[in-house]
Amino acid sequence: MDAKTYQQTVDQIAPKRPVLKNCMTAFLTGGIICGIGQIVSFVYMYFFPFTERTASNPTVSTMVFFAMVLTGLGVYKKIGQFGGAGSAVPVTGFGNAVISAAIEHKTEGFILGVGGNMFKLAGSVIVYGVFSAFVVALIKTILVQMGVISW
Amino acid sequence: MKRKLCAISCIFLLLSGCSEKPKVSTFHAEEDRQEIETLEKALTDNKKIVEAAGVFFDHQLVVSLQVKPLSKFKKEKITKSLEKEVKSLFPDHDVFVSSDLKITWELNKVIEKQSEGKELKKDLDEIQELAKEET
Repeated sequence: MDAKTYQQTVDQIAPKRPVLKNCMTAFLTGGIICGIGQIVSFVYMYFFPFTERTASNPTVSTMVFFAMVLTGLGVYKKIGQFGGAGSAVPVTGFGNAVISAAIEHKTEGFILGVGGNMFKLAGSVIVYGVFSAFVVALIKTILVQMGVISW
Repeated sequence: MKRKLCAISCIFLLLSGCSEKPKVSTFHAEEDRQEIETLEKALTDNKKIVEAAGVFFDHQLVVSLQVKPLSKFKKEKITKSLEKEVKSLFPDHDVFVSSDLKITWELNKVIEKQSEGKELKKDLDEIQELAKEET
């Protein structure tokens, strides 16, 4: 049996992925997380002297904190199983990645275990986050210089 | 019956969201009707605005606006063009225009309070300081 026929057999036997259903649940979960983020942002603007522009920083930290607490309580795992990418793509996925890695390596000690592995997955989020932010800023700078959009 | 009622209320909600004229609220410390009308006309004529507020006080004019959701990509551009327009309408005023939601909320609070004198000046200065805040 060559690789091609093997793959065909696997495709025939393996259960089909419910792509549409997965997309819907991811959309719903991501939308609810972003909706909660919007409410948090409004709370910061209404009760504290934050403007629409400055409220984003404390909102991001609060959402990450919520995700960290929920990960510690084991709730975020269930949200992740239901929502898939919808729970991983928003900034809450970052909090989950940090804390779940810390919990996983707790048995190896606090320095080499928790400290050394905490950013194992979140590290790539930071690296590619910074890189993609640079690319997006570059594209925006070019578009602003061309006069297509404004800051 | 329930479904019909639901559908009709949905249509009403959708249509009420598409009201053409923006909601404009203004306040003038010296009660100058002409200046208020000029500003209200400039704001209601702008088709990209959904909500706006303006407060006059001692040659000082603070205006806030909220643009339509699809125009949010060009929010800064719309704000700048409106600032230019308002400045040309009131050349002897110190004009300040902002499209921040917080500024709109604060300005509406000032309009509701209808305060005068030092209190109004303090409120307007605080709003302008808030808009300059970077952190």
